[in-house]
Amino acid sequence: MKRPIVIGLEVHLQLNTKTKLFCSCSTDYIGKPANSNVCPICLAVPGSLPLLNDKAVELGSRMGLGLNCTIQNYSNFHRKNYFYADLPKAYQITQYELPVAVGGYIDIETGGKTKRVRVHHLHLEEDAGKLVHPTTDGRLTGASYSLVDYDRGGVPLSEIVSEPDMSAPAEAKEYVIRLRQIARYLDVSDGEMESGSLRVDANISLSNPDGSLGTRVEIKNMNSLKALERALEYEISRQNKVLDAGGKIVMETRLWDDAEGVTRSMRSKETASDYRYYPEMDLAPVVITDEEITRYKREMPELPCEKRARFAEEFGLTGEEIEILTEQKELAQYYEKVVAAGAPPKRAANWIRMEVLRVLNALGKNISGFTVSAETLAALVAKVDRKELSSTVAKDILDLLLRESVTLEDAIARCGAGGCALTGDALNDTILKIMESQPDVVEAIRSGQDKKNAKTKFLQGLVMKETRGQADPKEVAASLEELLKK
Amino acid sequence: MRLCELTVKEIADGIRAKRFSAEDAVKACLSRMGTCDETVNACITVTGDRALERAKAIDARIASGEDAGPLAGVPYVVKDNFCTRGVRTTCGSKMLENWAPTYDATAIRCLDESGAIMLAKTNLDEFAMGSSTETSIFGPTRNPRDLDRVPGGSSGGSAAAVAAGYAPLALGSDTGGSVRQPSAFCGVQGMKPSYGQISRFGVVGYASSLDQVSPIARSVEDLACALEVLARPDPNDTTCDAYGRPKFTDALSLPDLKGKRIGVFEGFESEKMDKDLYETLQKTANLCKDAGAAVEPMDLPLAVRYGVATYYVTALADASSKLACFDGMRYGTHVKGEHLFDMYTNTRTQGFGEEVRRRIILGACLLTEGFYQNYYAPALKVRTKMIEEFDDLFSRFDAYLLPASPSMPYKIGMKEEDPTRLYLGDIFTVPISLGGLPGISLNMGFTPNGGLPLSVQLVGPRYGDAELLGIAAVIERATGRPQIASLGEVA
Amino acid sequence: MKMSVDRDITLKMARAAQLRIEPEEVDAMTESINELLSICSLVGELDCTDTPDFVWRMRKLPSRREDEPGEWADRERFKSEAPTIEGDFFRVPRISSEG
Repeated sequence: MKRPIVIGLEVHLQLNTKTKLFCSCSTDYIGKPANSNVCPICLAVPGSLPLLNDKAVELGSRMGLGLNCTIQNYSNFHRKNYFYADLPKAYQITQYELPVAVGGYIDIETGGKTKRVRVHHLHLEEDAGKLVHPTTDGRLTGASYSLVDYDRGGVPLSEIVSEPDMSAPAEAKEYVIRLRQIARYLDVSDGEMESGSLRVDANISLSNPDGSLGTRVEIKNMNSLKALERALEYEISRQNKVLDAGGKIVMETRLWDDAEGVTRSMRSKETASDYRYYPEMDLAPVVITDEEITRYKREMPELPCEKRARFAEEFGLTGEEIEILTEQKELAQYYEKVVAAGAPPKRAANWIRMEVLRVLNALGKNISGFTVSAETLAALVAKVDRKELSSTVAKDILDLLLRESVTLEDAIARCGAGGCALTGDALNDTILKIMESQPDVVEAIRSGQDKKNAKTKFLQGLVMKETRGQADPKEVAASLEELLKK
Repeated sequence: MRLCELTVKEIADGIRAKRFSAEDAVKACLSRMGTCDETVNACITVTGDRALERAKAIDARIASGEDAGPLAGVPYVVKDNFCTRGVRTTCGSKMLENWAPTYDATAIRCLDESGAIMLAKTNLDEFAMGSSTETSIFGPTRNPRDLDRVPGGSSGGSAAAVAAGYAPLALGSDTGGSVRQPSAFCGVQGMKPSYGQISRFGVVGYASSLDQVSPIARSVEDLACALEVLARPDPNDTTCDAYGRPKFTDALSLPDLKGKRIGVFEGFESEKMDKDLYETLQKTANLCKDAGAAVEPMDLPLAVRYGVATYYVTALADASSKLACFDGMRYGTHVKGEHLFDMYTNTRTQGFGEEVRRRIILGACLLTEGFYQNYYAPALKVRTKMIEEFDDLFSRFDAYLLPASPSMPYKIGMKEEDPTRLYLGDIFTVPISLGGLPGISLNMGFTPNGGLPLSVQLVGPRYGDAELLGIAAVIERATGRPQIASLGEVA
Repeated sequence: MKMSVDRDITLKMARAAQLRIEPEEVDAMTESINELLSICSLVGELDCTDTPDFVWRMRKLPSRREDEPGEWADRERFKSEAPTIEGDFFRVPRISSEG
């Protein structure tokens, strides 16, 4: 039986601050020895007091604005009390009743339609330390001891809690993609699930026949978008089976086991039922003035939806084109530079979609690893548009530009209808390659056994074949002669 | 007069005028401490060598004409819950018995910068939880005015040290009366400043919204000198909103109380408190009248009825959370365990004394689901109402008088069996803490037969610390400053 | 509203605070808690509808810390003195309390 699915997501984003939420320890802990970025505050040394990071408040507010939330002039922190090895104070300083931002939304595209998923609130909290377990799979089970690294402890997080507005795993995935995109566009967070700067917990229930909400189950430990989708699909299936068989769903937290493809109930100890929340009085309340909110709004980088709208209006691009170009902020910025340098928008869009992305995908890089400047690409695309170059030749030119550091003019000069000329060191490399593949012939020529030049011509022929006619025969002959002499 | 009998101001002036040296002052105080502390037991760790070195350095600077600070050469002692770099800070507990912090509390740095010289860390109720300085692992401190009696607590060691003449100045921490009550019991002057006046950084916490660094001395002038040096902004404590560097000593020139409106507390049954203390309160009221003040009775019905309940809910809840960081992993006592939570439980059960364990459990209970709604949540609102009551009061009065304690110092080892009376010992001090108001415990002489100290408490509006010191100075002028305890055969 | 605890709740509270109470101490502790709960129940007596929660009034806007990193000079010394230090890590016994 297909019961209506109700999904809510809690997304944790590590904020792009230089220091932790409550102390001046650096947040740059990847690759450093354990317990390098620690101090009395984040180690909970007696007498220490938390000191709120201004940038964290700014980035949290910025993200809130990006989610269409209302930024609260007044918010405060609470303590969430529990004992665990990764929590030195035995309480986490978080926001509980009065968060920084409330009441927003993200619009997602699902099944060709736009759906609005409401955001309940965004709040700030500190991250916990890391535990290392000396087991073969690195998991807690079976570890006879554990090692604790507090470098990550205290790093600022913003937690974004959605309303349970999603009704399919695909919608949940889309929501996270959109949220991540907003975070990256706003320079609030890297939003990487693999490195842990974006973490998702899901709450899922199946509604009863009478329309009332079913029992909620929390799912944790989904470390990729794929895992998120698979975990939710599995859980829907599991819950349906239980209910079909007349059973009841237990309100609990379950962990996704990616290897086995199942969710498992968490040991009850780790789900402390009573966190004894109460106000944190070592910190003054968080006061965000109207002036600050105005400044945050003014200094906001462009949102994805704003860029998408602008691309449609200014450049007349299709929805699909816009989606692809704006998926990554850096790519969109590259595109904009190309257009600003004089390339016609539509053709530039095509080129980037078809050619640039092709190259990047093949190389496994993103646009920051693309060596052709926007200005150069613009000039190339403009020439194609003016029919000064055929698109076939232009593609060859692009490949050449990526392989060698030549100017556009040189590249154009070397490339004709038959392709781009191979010359200089690149040509020598090809010649040497041929020579290495024919050691007997080279030996014969060098020992003076090529009176009629037949062997040399043989090698020349091989080079011309190898370069597919893109080398100048005279240059090949001259270079081959030079190299044979050595 | 012996050097150890002088006040902070007298020592500072004397050293500056080169009538005697910092080394002389430190030696005199250490000698007094050495003679008496075997009995009094006010000190946990004495940093004599360090103090003498510092004294010599200060003397050298003064000799070369340098200004070595407003309190240059003045010896002081500090409660052993203030972090002192390289010097063990035990909080009177097995949990930190051998722990030496790697940093100084801000208050310590302020005093050091002013040229003052630390002589010792003083005894306290374990983790500042108590009002008699009997729960420390280092044994009880004896009241220098009567060695069979408690000095009060939790800053009993600091108050006793000043009363005994070990130093003219001591630092304590006052959460619900922990400096005002022992000052009253030991016959010295103690002041809890307004909340937010002095940085709490480096003071091992008990209750975040109540703790305040508080000086103890033998004159109101000394309290003002201390506040001048301690009350300043600190980036390490965002709940401290002191600003500028107010000259608290300027307020001391108030010649009389003309134009001042003083309230005298009357909202309690006089049978519930010690007769001598009740009379002292009335005498002080008359003294204020004689000095020109308009004196009227006043009452604080909310404070009296709800103060103790609100205080304990607030303080214990916070304490249970603040002390949760003691788990044996990063510092302090460590006891092994089979598994993580076993290690936690062993360490905490063995590291904490009985009273601390009790308060932690009580505090955890108050924050638990169900209890929170019936205790902690209402307490947050009652506290607001109490502050409103104070605000209203201070529209009618500039200061008010009430007892510092309902009882005189009692005998060591005498445990109060009736819990209601036990908690109500704090009835006059905790509302002041809840309101964040400045409160001064003033010595008003001693009983003729037992030589036990009589006292009153003077309270002002929040951030009215300077004005309050002025009024206290006028009263003190009429009564006289307390002298150090003679300590009979011990000395 | 006045609440009270029994032996079971007392033990549960102690466990939550990571403290052990000996069997012979449980009754005394339970009594202590109930005494306190009785005294503190007064907070429920006052009608506080529309009263805001307590918060300190500050004289100026609370300050926030600049986002500039700093190093702790005594870090290595502190680590070397920590009871459970092993190399760069703090080592704890097995976290699972089962078996």
